[in-house]
Amino acid sequence: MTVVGLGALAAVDPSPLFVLSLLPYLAFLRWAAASKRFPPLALRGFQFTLVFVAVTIAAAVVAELRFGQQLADVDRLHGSAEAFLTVANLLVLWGFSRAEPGQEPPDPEASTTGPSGEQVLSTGVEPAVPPEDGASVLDPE
Amino acid sequence: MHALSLPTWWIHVASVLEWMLAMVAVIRWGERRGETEWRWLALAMLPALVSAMAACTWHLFDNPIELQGLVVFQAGTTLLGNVALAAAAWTLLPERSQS
Repeated sequence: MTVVGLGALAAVDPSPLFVLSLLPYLAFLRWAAASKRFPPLALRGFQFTLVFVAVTIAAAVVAELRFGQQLADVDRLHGSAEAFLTVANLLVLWGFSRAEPGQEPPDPEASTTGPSGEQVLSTGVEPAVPPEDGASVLDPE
Repeated sequence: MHALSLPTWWIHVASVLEWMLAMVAVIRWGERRGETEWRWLALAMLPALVSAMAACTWHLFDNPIELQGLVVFQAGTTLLGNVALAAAAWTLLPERSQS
């Protein structure tokens, strides 16, 4: 059953799909950066994925021209190219794991839109109390 | 499974594990910030994981032409995943949530 489905799929040329998938990814990177809410390191990781794509394309061309084989069958080239994805994913993972929730690009709106108590719960950050609230709490007038 | 050397396999496995852990990290990051919309980003990362599984399956069988359908499936899920990522990033745009 699955084999039949795969057989039908095999008739399709995957190359245009891979090329086409680049467009939504570029839109993703654009909006992710524009949101200013991503941990900077994670954003770097997602961007670095494009380096992996570029290296993979170059490696595939070398595999074809130099060895007359598909990239996946030229182990050294294949592994070296895939290592770039490992680095990219590591940056994404680190970015989201290590970043403090309060440590985002300065956005004056963020502190007021976030639920109250969020800042207090975040550990390891110096008290990032919004100026107005902090003033009212620390020195009541 | 000899088309790929052991180091190349480890590189693949590491990428997949990192991606899975990153999905969890995105959910936790959203929880720490009290912003549930990050769950959509984590969900949007799922098709790429499926795509990676297809690629690894193809590698597991030594990249045979008979399983070329897996490569097409991988390309399709990559496209789907990138559209999902773009949509998730769109929902995270601050101008949008304020309106």
